[in-house]
Amino acid sequence: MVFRLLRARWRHGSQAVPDPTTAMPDPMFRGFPDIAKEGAPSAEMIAACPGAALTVNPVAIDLGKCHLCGSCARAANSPIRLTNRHHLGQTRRDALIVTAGTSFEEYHARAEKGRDEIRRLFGRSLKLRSVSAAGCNACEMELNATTNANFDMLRYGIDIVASPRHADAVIVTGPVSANMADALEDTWNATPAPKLLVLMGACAISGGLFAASPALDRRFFKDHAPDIYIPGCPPHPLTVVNAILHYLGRENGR
Amino acid sequence: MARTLNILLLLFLPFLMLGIINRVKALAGGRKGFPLLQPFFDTLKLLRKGAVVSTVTSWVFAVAPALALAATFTALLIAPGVGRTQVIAFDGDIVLCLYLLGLAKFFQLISALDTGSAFEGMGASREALFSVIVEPSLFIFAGTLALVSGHMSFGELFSLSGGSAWPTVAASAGAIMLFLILLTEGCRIPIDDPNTHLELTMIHEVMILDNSGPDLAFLQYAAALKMYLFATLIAALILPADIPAIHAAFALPVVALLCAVLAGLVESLLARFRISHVPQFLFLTVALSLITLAAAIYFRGGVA
Amino acid sequence: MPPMDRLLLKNRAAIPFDDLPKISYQALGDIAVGCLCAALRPVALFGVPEERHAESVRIVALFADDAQGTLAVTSVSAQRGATVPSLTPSIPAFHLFERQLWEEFGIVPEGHPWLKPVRYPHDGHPPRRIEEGYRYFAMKGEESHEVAVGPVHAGVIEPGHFRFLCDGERVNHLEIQLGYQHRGVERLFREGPLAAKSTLAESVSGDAAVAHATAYAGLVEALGDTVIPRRASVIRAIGLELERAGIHLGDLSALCNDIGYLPGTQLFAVMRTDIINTSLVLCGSRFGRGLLTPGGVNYDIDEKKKERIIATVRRIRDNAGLLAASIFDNQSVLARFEKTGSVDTATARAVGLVGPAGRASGLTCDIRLTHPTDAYADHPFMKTILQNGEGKAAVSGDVYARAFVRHQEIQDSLRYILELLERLDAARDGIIAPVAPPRPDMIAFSLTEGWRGETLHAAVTGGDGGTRRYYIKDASFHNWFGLALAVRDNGVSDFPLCNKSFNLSYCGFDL
Repeated sequence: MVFRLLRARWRHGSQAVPDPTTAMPDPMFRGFPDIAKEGAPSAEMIAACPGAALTVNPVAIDLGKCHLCGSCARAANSPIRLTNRHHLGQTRRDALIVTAGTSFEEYHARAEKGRDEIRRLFGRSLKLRSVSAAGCNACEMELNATTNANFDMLRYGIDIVASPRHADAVIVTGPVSANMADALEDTWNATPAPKLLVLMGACAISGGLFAASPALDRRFFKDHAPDIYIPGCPPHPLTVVNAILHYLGRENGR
Repeated sequence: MARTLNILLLLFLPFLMLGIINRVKALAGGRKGFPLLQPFFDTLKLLRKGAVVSTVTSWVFAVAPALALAATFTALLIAPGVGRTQVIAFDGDIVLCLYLLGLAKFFQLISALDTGSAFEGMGASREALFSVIVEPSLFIFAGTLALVSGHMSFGELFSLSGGSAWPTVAASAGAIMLFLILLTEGCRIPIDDPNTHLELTMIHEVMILDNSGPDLAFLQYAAALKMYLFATLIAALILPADIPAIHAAFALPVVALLCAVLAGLVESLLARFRISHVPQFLFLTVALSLITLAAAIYFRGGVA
Repeated sequence: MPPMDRLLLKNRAAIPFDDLPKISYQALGDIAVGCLCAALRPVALFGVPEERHAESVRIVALFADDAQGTLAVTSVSAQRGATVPSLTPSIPAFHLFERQLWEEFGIVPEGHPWLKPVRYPHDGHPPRRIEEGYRYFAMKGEESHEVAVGPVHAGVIEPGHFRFLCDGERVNHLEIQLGYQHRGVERLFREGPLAAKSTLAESVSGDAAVAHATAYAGLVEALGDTVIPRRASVIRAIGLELERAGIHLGDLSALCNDIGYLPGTQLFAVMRTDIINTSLVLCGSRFGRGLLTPGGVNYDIDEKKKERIIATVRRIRDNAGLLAASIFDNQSVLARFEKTGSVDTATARAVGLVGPAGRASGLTCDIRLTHPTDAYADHPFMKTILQNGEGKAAVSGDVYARAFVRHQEIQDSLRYILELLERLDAARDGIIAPVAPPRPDMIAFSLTEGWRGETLHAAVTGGDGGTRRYYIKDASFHNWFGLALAVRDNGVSDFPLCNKSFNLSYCGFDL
């Protein structure tokens, strides 16, 4: 029994991605939208966008509403091309809006780091508490993947803990249904200060394609400003890890 | 000199042991895992964090973490350190040491009950059950050694001598028993899973679910100290008494870190027992302590 | 001659709504009796508000005849707030459907043994708020105690409330309360053109994106009478089986994690990553999002992708087989899996379990076999009944059986993917066809075997071609109660293991 196990283990070697800060997902991955300056999205493209993220005047995609579904890129004569650049995290809501002609480098440069005191406190030890507030389970699975052998953000001292009292940050997935609004508030209050609020996924950031539903209750965000926004649907684990590392000032992995 | 070294080791080795266990598990799993010094980083951060306290708790919840740490730390001062020297030593200090551990555990249990949470209550009752089985084995073992050596202090307790196979049997049975107790008190697989996210299966973890900030740091350090205590007992048991002081200074950390490596390997290879099977497993420790007692009678012709 | 109290349909059929037979509740009870002898299986019972009379509701009943490969559909007229005789006392599998009718339309099933809310929807009849002083079952006794878990759980998992009534460590009864995830999905399907809802369908339950997208796309195509290219149907099936294999590998990893068996946890997780990265190569998403669209698929498989998928699938099939054999041989693993969380065959049938959980309890429901469409009809899916170490099929209904069934299904799915890839060369008719708009005043049903089990999307179109009613039934709708029954007389600390062995959807239930 042990030998079969050791054989299976040997075959797999080490599965850790050597450096999550420089690893790139497959070229097929739908990431940062490159919007050409010439050409405008058609009315069909705008109507087909599930999160209503695509606008004209100016031509822009709001990554806080974008589900990276690719339908705008697949449309005929589309000025939009989804690259596989996945470092999408930001610290300000308005920084998530990508206008035509914005390069990825310009976009990424907008991402700020946390305050000095926060970085000194959490730089080597940051514990997350996850609240699934009506998430569809895709974000939850990708969040779980950040601690697996592949992406292993434990190597940076970042972990997911079992109790809000043990946590330094609350990471919210899902659009926040009315039935979860109280639980989200309770969890936030049970987390000791200083603490961060992280939103993962289009639904958490803006309600996403559920934004118009009367079953939601997003009043929590009126009173609590998020610290980190992680766009995607679901965000790739590398996007999540790098967004947090960048905020902590550790984007070189150091 | 030895006393200072003992205290220094107390401050660093428990965290290092935790770090080693995590590194071994990570290596066995083909992943990077936490850095070796992560327990230090976590503790330093927790000491600078605030705390959230339920309004339903009482002074018990407020006082328990510091009290548990103080009791455990004091117990470690009595435990045999480098070359079996102790920071605090007197005749009968074994009893005080074990009772201090009991005091720490008692306060952790009632603190868990104080929160009024159903899980913490369940975790406390499981922890209490395991203690009921493990503590007698410790007392029987220590008592046997005390009667044989004629001393009631850790410093002299471990001078196993005479009677053919007696030292070997006592050392082997004792070391295995102490290692199993290390796994139990340190809440390691196969008894408990320190990394589980399933509140219904937690034992130690669940009792500290409501603690935050410095209190959490105290409790985590106290848990690591307990593991280290059993490592010191194992070291005292298996290391010969007459090694030069320089070697002794290294031997104890080496034994402690080896215990950590072994614990890491056990965690990596075994599945966790069903909670209802854990008491059966723990009776092993009682059996081993009784073997020691029987060996004393058999090989030495009695314990007197 | 088929009886006139029901219409017989094939899977993915669309018929005019007015063609639905209208029978009495008595007659419905007579048909439902067929479920007791397993001639029929209840698939759905849901209400459709009548177009012209707001107070009238048409209750649509759908049964499956697995042996014949048909669906039987009928309907009963009722008023909101009316009282009707309950079917549940004789056929427990209807219990949740009747509760939903009560919650949505106020139709009271008289004689229902346990009428309680289903998901606290925002548009219920009347609207209810969750946790509004609902009184859970209670037990009294010397050692009895109650443990309440959730909605927020210690791990990264969707919210739900579990209330255990325990005697010491043993669970006497578990009451599950869901609804925390309710987002109003069915209503969002009704707003706007039905053909533009792929992303919404994928988000019903994000870990079963391909399953729900398949059911949804099939529904839209049925309503528009669109036939998709053969190549597209093959690629859809590949996507669905990749999803199944990937999730099952993840489940086996999670089961090992729950018992603290690290080698199993890590190695299965690695294999799952390989599979979902194959999905990424196929369609740009680790979860298969964006692959399907009404009319076909968005992404083709060229020679290079095909080579890559074949290499990965072959490697995983071998490694997964090797690892599973070592896991199911390991005494400490078996000690945790066997005889834990058992659901016997009779209970499973009575409650109406579906999917791998049902099959692990000895049921044989699988839409791919009984009601196949598209690629599954052109190229039949073969199931192998693997035998465990004792030469028996794994139908003991415990955690071990549910894990073993997953191992079997991984092997079957990976083999089927290789078979489908061979058929790609023969199917060169493009990957997408123009989809016709939904015909007005129709009702259509689309069943898919998702990895959790039977997934249903149904819709009724209105006179203007808009959507009058969109009904979704995830496999979890049946299986949550199976979980509640499975944990009885087990240790409360074994609950996570039972839960993971079912792996049910909270958001797919809550919609």
